[in-house]
This record gives sequence, C-alpha cells and structure tokens, in this order.
Amino acid sequence: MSRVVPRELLNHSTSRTLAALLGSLPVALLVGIALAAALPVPLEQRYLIGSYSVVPSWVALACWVLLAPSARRAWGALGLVSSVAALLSLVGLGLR
Amino acid sequence: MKLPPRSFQIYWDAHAWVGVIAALLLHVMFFMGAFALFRPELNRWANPAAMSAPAAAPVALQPLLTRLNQEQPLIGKDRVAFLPEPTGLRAYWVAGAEQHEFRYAPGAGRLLPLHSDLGTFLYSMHYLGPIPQGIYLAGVSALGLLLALVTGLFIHWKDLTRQWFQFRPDRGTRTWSSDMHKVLGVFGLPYQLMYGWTGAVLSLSFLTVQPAFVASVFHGDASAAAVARGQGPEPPEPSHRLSATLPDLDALVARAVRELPGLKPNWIGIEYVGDERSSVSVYGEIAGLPFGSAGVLLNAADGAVLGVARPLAGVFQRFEAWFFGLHYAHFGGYASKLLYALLAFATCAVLVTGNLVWLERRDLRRAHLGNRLLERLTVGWCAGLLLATSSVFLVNRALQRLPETGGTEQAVFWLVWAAGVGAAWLGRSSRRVAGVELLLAGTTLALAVAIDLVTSSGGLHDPIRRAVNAALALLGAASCAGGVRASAAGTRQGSGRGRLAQAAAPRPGRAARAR
Repeated sequence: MSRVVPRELLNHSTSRTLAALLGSLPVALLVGIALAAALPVPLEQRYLIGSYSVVPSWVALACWVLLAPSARRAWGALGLVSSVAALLSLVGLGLR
Repeated sequence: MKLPPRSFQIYWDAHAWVGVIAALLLHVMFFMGAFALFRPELNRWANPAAMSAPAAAPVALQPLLTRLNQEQPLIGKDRVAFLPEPTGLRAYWVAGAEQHEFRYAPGAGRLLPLHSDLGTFLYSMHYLGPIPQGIYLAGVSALGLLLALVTGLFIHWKDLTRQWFQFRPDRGTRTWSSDMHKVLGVFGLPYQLMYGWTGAVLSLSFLTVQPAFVASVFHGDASAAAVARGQGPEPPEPSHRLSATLPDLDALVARAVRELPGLKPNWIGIEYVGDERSSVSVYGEIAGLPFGSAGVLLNAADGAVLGVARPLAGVFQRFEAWFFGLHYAHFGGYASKLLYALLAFATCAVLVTGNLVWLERRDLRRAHLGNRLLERLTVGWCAGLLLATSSVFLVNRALQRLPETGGTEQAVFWLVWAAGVGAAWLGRSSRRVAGVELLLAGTTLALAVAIDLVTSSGGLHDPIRRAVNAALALLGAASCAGGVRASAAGTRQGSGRGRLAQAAAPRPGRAARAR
C-alpha cells in the first residue's frame, strides 16, 4: 500500500502548527499544575510529578494536536484540556 | 504498530521540519557537550602553571585564603569559593559583576590567576551561554529535539529493529546518509531523549515552570516550595556591618564532615566575606552513595551549623539527583563520560545526516535557493565549529607564555567559526569545502598537541595532560580521515559524476521513498 498521502488531505495550516507548537506550551504548564494540585498523594510527590510532567505533556499535546483534522479542532482540543486542567487545579487547591 | 497513512505523513513532515530548523543549534550543543564533560580536565590542560600532578592529600585552604587576602583584599566580596576537583584546586571570588578565577599551583604553593578558561568557555557554549539569551534558545532547541525524537520514533516504529542495524556505506549519498541517520538515531535514542528532557528542564524550567508552580500550588510562598523540594537552607542575607575577619575554613570543613560523615567536599564557599552574618557552605558528594550530593551551611564567625542538606533526603531530591546526575554524568567515572562523549559525537552525525537526507530527498540537484543555502550553511557551521574549537586549543598552546589568553582564545574562536561559515560559500563543491575545513581542523589539533609535547617540562608525568593530548590527537585523526573522505566525495561531486550517476540510477518506488 502506498503510504504517500495527497497534501490536501494532510490539511497543514499555520494555525494548527502554532496550536501544536506554541498553544500547547501554556496548556502543558496548566496540566502540570493540575497534577500538582489534584493528585491524591503527599505534597512533595504531587509537586514532583506536576513539575516534571510539563515537558512530556507538551510533547504529547503537540503530537496529538498535530493530528487534528483542522486548526479549529486543534485549538478546541487545547481549550478543552485547559478547561479540565483549570477546573482540577481550582478544585484541588480549593480543597486543600 | 503501523500508523495510518495520514498520521505517518504528518509526523514525517513534523520530524523533518523541526529537525532541519533545530539541527544546527543542537549540533553546537551536542558537540560542545562532549567537551563540557571534561571541563576540569581541559581547564587543567589549558593552565600550564598548575600542571604538575594534583596533590595526593587535600590542600589546606586557610593558608591559601590568608595569602589571597593579602594579595587581593577579600573583605566585602560577595563570595569566595574553593573547588577541590580531581584535577586540582580551583578558586574564585565574586563582587557584583566582577569575577576572578584562580588555580592552585602546587609548585608555587599558592593560587595563581587563571591563564585560560578554555574548558569553561567550551562548557558555556554547550548551553549557548555566550550568545545573548542563549540558554533560552538552548531550551527551545531541546524541546525541538524531543519533538523530533518522538515523531521520528512514531514513523520508524514499524521497522525499528531493521533501522537499528541497516547500514549500507557502499550505496549513494541518499541511502548511506539515511542509514547512518537511523542507525545512530536508534542507538542513541535513550541518550538523546534523556538530554532533550533534562536539557529543556535545566534551560527553561527554573525561570518559567517553577515560578508558576510557586505562584499557584504554593500561593506565592517560595520557602514552602523549597521545603517541598528538599532544598538546603539559603545563606543569611548580609547585615552590611563588616567585622573584617576571615573564617577558619579548614576547621569549618572538618565541622561539616563531622556533620555528614563521608562527605567529600567539592565546593566550599564563603558568602558576604567579612560581614557579621557571613556564612560558609560546604557542599560535596557522600562517598559510595550514587548521586549523593549533600551540604552543610555554617556560621562563618563561630562555626555554628545553620542547616544541613542531607543526601537523597526526600523523593524530590532523590529524583533530581538522578535526573541531573544523568545529565552531568555524575556516575561511572571516566567510562560513562567517554561513552557520553561518543554518543554526543554520534548525535552530531545524526543531525548532519538529517539535513543531508532532507536535501537528497527533496532537492537532489539543489535547484532551490533555500536548499542551496541550507547545504552551505550546514557545511560551514558544522565543519567550521570543529575548526574553531581546534583553533582555541592551538592558540592556548602557542601563546602559553602570555599571562592570560582567555580573551584571545574566544576572539579567535568566533573569527575562525565565522570564516568557516563564510568559506562554505566558496567553490563549486560544498563537500570539498567541508573536506578542507576538516583537514585544517585535524592539522590544527595535531599542531596543538605537538607544541604541548615539545614545550612540556616534566608536565607529561601528569596523566590528565597525557589523556587530553591523546584525546585531541584522536579527534584530529578522525577529523583528517573525515576530511579526506569528504574531499574525495567533493571531487566526484565537482566533476558531476556522483550527482549525475545518482540521478541516472533507477528511482525507488513510492513506498521506498516514504521510508
């Protein structure tokens, strides 16, 4: 089977690329903060997991967002992850 | 795992673009990383006055401190530090933006101003330190490396085992460069992943991620975050009332070792020298404990213990000891450092062949201006960097009679590198230029070693000096071998035979191109 896909099906766009490379940076930070705020383990461990998960989270988000069918879906996915992470952070920090 | 064709192509494009954009900066970081691993050894080699063998027993610090204070009054300085290294004792003082470094010369029995900071300069190039905001550029490049590695892993996952072993040096440029890119990339993958992650954290995290965590998770309380991290105590702020007395350093080091049995100090620093609240930090490794960094903070005046940072005290500290210990090769001695250096050079080859694969696949005849620029820039940048680094070693040896050569070495480094990049635009064949620059670099390194051997006066009894000379000679030989090969390829390229022969060869099918 040919693995060469017509360029138009790839739907490369500047906006999606920006979402993957730059937009995912603050979202990855928010994911790390959410983990540090909400994980049900001692503070030292939450802080460790949260702060050291930011870089791997960015790579995972970038890889995921790159596959989005359109720029709108890419930014939407980032918005969804941000909302969940922000909610977890607020709940986690508010409860402690 | 076989990716759907669309995902495969998107990751392929991401891998290629991120790789080609970040490759040149990453090349500098990995190339200089190999030298950074041996910073103390290179600094020792570069400073002939301190070249006799390191003292077997620890050097008494108090007489050195007293004598340095007589020569250059230390009271009021922000910090005076002594660094006992396997290669000898180093010291420095800091006052505001001013910093002066010294090495202990066993023959003279005193601290002498540094003749050259060659090792430190090459180390700082590893994180692009001499470039304005270079450390952030290094961090962004490390992120790019991670993304290129992960996307590369995705696209090659289906045939990873084959890519591990398949190398066909007798084939055309496109095939052998692609094979080399994949073989060295797969072999070095754990090493490169580790450096991508640790490098990004070291370059970016402390100024971006950590402040955000302190502001949110710790509600702005930095000391609470420091406690959670298991950090050692911070030195007290100065009172700005000077008592004009120096601490008894040897007694304080002995006190610290009593507090932490097995501590082998590698950093002894006096903060705010002569101040009423002056303190002394004694940091080091606990013998026999992997990644066992520890330290004691003492009051400079009476030796009271202000705080102890115990080794691997909490989960955070244990993780960071391993995380950063792997980056700095704080394990396995010279064997692991040599392995790291080899992997660093292999990664440089991965980066250069990555650019070559880009050019060979997308524009065999270099019809586009952008690809012609990329080819010449890659050649000049990479071969020029080796030539510039070699020149630093030669300048150091050639000017060893001057009291200070650090500034000249750095000026020569930048000039030669710029000339190397500029020279890449001359001539019809970029490979021939690469060959000439590599041959020059090899000759320059051989000259540096030859001058060192000829002008040495008993210094060759020093095993560190012998080892540095041997490593430089090996690097020079490898550079000459690469230069001869590139020149031969350049001759074929210049005559057009190689390119045309490739162009005339049967084109591989789509599936092969996609690989």
